[in-house]
Amino acid sequence: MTAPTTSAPPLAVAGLSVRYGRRIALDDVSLSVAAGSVYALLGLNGAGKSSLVRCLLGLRRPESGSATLFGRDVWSHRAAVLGEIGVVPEEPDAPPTLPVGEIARFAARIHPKFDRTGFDDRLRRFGVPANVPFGRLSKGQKGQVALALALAPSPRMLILDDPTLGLDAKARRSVFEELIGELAERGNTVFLTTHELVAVEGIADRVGILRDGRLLVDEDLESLRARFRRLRFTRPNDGDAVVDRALADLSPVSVERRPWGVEAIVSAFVEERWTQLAGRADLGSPEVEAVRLEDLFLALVEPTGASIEPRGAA
Amino acid sequence: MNAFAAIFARELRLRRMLLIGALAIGFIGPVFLGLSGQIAADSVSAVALLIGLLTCIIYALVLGSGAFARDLVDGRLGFDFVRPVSGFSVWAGRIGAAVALLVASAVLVVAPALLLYPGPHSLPSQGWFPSIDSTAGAVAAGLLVCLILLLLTHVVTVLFASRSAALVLDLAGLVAVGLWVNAALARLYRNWAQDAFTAGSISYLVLFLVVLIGATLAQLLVGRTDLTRNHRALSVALWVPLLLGALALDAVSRWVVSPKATDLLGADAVYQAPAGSWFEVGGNLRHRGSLGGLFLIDAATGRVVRQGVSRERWAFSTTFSRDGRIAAWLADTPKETEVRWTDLSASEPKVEVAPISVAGVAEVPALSPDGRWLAFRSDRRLLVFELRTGRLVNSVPITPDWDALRIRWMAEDRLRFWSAGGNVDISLEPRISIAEIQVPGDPGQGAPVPVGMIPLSVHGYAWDVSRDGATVIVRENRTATGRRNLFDGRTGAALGEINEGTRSGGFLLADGSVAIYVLSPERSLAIYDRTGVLRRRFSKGLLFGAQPSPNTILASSTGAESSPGHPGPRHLWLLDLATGGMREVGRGWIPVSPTVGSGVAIVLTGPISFARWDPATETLKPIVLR
Repeated sequence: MTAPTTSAPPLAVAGLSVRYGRRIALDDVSLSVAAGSVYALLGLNGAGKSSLVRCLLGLRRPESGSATLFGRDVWSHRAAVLGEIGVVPEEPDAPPTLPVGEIARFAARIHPKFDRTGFDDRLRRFGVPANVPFGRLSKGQKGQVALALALAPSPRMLILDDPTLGLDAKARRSVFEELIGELAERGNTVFLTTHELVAVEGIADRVGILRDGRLLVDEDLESLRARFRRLRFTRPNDGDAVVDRALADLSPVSVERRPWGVEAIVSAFVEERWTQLAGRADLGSPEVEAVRLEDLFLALVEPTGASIEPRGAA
Repeated sequence: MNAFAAIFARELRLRRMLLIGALAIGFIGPVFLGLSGQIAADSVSAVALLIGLLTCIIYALVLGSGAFARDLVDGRLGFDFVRPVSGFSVWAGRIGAAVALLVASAVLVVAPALLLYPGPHSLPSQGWFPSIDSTAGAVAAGLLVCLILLLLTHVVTVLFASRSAALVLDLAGLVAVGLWVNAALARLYRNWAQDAFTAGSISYLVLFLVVLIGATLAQLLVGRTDLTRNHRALSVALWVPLLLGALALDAVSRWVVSPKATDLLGADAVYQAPAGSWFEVGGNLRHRGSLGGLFLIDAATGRVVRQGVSRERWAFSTTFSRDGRIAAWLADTPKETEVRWTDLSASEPKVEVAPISVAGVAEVPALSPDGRWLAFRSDRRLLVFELRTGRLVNSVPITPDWDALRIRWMAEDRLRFWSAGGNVDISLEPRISIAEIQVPGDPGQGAPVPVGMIPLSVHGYAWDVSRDGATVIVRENRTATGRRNLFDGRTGAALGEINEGTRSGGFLLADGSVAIYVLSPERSLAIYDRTGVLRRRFSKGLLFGAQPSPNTILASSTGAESSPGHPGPRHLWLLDLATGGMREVGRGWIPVSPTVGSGVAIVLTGPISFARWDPATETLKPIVLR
């Protein structure tokens, strides 16, 4: 049993492994989320994000390792720790025949701090009718109800499992705007999995990237931005070997050879070093530009991507 | 508690239409059937109860699959589990609401009928299950069935919905439990262990219900929202205790039907082989309700052969070959009567089931002198079979009256039987017919050869035939004198009569002479020859016991206790028929049975302790059971 400690991070997983039969969904994953930060866990479908969330919510017992919230083991103390957590599931799963107002009444009986007025206000902002059975709402409206339910008890932490999956652009925007609004207002800790890389880039403090159950990246977004760069240059006369040697020290994640030259994304960019290498290898027209999270993600999770050294992982 | 109440209330609200439907159905019986006058008023509520039961069965199916199985399958159970709600609250709230809805629906369905047409309603006795005599009992029984159905529906929904290969193991578990429990209960049923059958059935039903409840809780606590893990937890929580319960039931049923001789509470019946040292003991058994046990005991070695258990406290159905080597007996089962036998000369005698079975009651078995043929009565016929092969070798009709048959083997290939009529059935002429048949004969065409007849003056009589078939004794019940008439066992010719008053009891000895114990006016034991001539009278109050040799009788005093199973402080006396002398030889009780000529007499020295009389040393030797 893990005793709650005031110094423990709000969310931590250590050595977490999950299997479904012979298939490994999570392989020795460790990460933690600092209080008041936003952690975005990224990964392609089937990478293991939902399995990790299920472990974090005490819905799935890992084969090995632990998942703790506020220092308490979630599997053993699920009901207790979830009193501090707001959850938005991947698929909103409220009883389909129950009207939204009834759902709120049910949630209010369970959460002593449930803010019914705030919930109703939020629904009005979303434009979701309270007297319609949940099953008759659109997918976007269901997601908005789920978000409203998660935020109403004023949780210390939010866990969102791909909350915008399947939503249209408008609904996605409203979810993130609401989320950002709440975050600004409360300074909550947030752990979310998502495919909305652009939106995440605006709110995440730290990013984790899963591929095939393994955590490739667990790092502050600023740090990622600092060390990842996209490089472009024309090929030197003596060919690919020189290019490879030149890039090797910068830890390339992807290298694409195009008719006009080479485009690469590197994960250990240092300005002085790049300048030296470019000069030494006689690279033509060298260009350097920052990498968007989406490009970085794609570069990392592509099966052909070069291996990188995980940095910042616990 | 808040979480439980919230989930409970939510589930009720989600399914409240079921209650409205139940109330509507509840009015079908009283309103449509009652007002239309199509059936009698007192039948309306019974029909309404039946409709109520059918409704509840349907509701049980609906609620069982919907309590949380469907949400689990559809992935909606997370709605409860991602909130600060314990697994127990989720389970209790959902299952509790389903049960509450079921009970409330049942009440709403039957209430209109019971209010408008109150009256006694009962469920008839089903087999060995007691009947339920009240309306409340009938409703409760119906609800119990529906509750089990509800939980079973849930279990089946989860097991099948997971589409796991483990379903094969579930089916294997189901088959194993079903076969095991069935075998255990069938064992009790076949052996007339009614008390144990009822207790075992009800206990396993209760266990089944408790396990169902516990398994649904365990699956949710362990599996939570994961259907595969739910399935796995449910399977383990279901089949392990059910298999252990079946194992226990099997062990108990084996224990019940396999008593030891030391489990006898008392020897209610003791019957000795005509030769050799074996005797049969029967009586009530410890911790086995009304079940009786029968054992063959070797007085010389203490070896015991368990014949079986019986619904009767004792059964004089065992017959021995003349040398006492083969014992055979009729064992009635709920379906048929079986013939079992054993070779007592074997070092480890085993009970065999002969390939002979007859439907209905069979009685009065008689083994031929060599033990090859077995004759007995069944359905107004005297049947003769070859014991080991089960081949029917003769079959003849006999008088259809109570206590109507005596069989004696005159030789290995010839038996004589006495067929009495007009004893209980007063439409028949009161007489005893004497006939013989050959063995083997013609089962299809054979007819008995009449050899004699004993005409009687009144209906209602007690009678018996001596072991050698030479003498018949008849005591006509309506004669105030208690006179006994003696007849020739072959021709039926009158031999003489005995007058010892009404308060007396008589036994035929080996040679056809008669022992009469007289209770008043003075207690005595009188010995008559087969023509009714008094040979000896011993003035003490003695009960005839055994005849260890032709000229000696071992008798016990008439103690204060009258029950054979409670010997009391009785004295044993050795009577010399040649000299008329008598002397006390110990304490004990001779079981009342015509045990003559074997040289061994069995003495009860306690409720289940025995001794044998050794004529050579004229001492009692305790029998130590092995």
